[in-house]
Amino acid sequence: MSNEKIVEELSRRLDIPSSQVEATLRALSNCIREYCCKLDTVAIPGFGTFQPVKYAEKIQTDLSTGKQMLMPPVVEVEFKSSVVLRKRLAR
Amino acid sequence: MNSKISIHQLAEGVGAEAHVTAITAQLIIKELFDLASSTLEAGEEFEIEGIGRFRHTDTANNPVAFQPAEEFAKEVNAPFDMFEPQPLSAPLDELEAIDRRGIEGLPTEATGVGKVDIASDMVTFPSQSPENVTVSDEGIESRPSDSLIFRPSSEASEETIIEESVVDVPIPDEPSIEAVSEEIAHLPEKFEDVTEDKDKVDHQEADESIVNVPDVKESAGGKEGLEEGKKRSEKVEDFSAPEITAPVPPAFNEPSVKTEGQQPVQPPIFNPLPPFPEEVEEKVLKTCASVEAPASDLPNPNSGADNPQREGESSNQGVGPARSSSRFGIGFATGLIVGLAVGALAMFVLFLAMTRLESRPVSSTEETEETEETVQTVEKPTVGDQPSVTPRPEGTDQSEGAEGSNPA
Repeated sequence: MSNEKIVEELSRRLDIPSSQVEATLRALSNCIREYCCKLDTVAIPGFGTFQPVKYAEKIQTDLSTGKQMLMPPVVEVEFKSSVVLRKRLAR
Repeated sequence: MNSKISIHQLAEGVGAEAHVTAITAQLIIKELFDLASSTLEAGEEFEIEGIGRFRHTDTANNPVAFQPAEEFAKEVNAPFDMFEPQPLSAPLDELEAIDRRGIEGLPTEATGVGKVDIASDMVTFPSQSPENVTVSDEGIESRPSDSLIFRPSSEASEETIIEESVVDVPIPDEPSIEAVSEEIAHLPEKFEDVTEDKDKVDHQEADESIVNVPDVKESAGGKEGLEEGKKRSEKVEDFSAPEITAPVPPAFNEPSVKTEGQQPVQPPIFNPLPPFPEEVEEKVLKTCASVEAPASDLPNPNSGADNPQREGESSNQGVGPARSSSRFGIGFATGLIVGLAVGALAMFVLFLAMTRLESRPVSSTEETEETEETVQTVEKPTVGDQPSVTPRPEGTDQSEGAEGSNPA
């Protein structure tokens, strides 16, 4: 589902103007990114949690060439689905 | 940091940013993720702009796969944008080997791109063969500290070394020999010591002549240094030329001191003892001959097998250690004879004194008689010395007075 369909569906369901829904969705993405940049975990009940994880620098070896690279540290945002979502999907 | 943000906090933040109420924002958020759940349940992908894409998978632990958006990932990793993946200079195994064994243990055949060439960083010096390096002992002894530096062979450097070695050669002083000869003239009684000094001087001169010969045979461009060295060696040989013969008193028929370029120094007349009779002189010569033979048999450190030339010189000059030992024997014998004579004279004088005392004997009987007479004369009282006695009146006991008194 694309972003336009999401906005239309939400405005239809909530009976809110699409512009307000669109602004709210934009603000939501900004807030999640802001919290994840602070390495905070954002928990959404019934859906899951967005958890940023920081990995330290490491050396990766290319098995084909044998070349080794020193990789810088990285922060990855992981999503962990909630139990409710897993149960819904398992059904 | 590392805190858990609840939906209420998220809704407040979204409402503040979107200019909506927190309740409205919370409703929209809940409705959004409910739609996402239903979409995933239907097996479709759900993508929120600026956050990422959700996809249903068959894994049991985490059935939803999340792929963050590109801008989301960049914003999260913004603090580490300055770092980039760096290829390592050497493989990890070699680096660990360096850590374990040090730089010396680095394998020469390095596989991979980042090969460390330590040999190229090392400073290489030109090879010096020991044949090309010439170092003179004189230069090392004369120069305090920098002479110990080995220099590679080159014509210029070799010439400088030769010059320094020639300059530093101690040239024997002429006045020293004259002073020695004067000392010999003034102290003829020490002719034995003078001969020894002369031997020392000859030996030292010979050593210096050996040392001062510059070793320039191998040098191609050291002709000037060779000529200078030859001149110096000739000068040294000239100094070793004057012959010094030991001054011996005329009583022993020894030649006088002679030096080249000078008139012979006549030693003063030296007669320590009156001339001996011929018999005594023959005895002395015999004893000297007996002493001279073992002295010549003894090994001499100055003229040994090490220096046959030196031995030949000593035999030609006739001033050898055996001869000096014979002179020593003569002097020793003379002194011994004189000492014996003086001792005999002293004994004779002592004997005379003793006999003179013994020629005037004293009898013990006469001495005892004389002493007895003197004692008696001392013990006999004289008349004047007797005490006067007054007569006592009658009726008294006169026995004591008659007995003790003498009639006048």
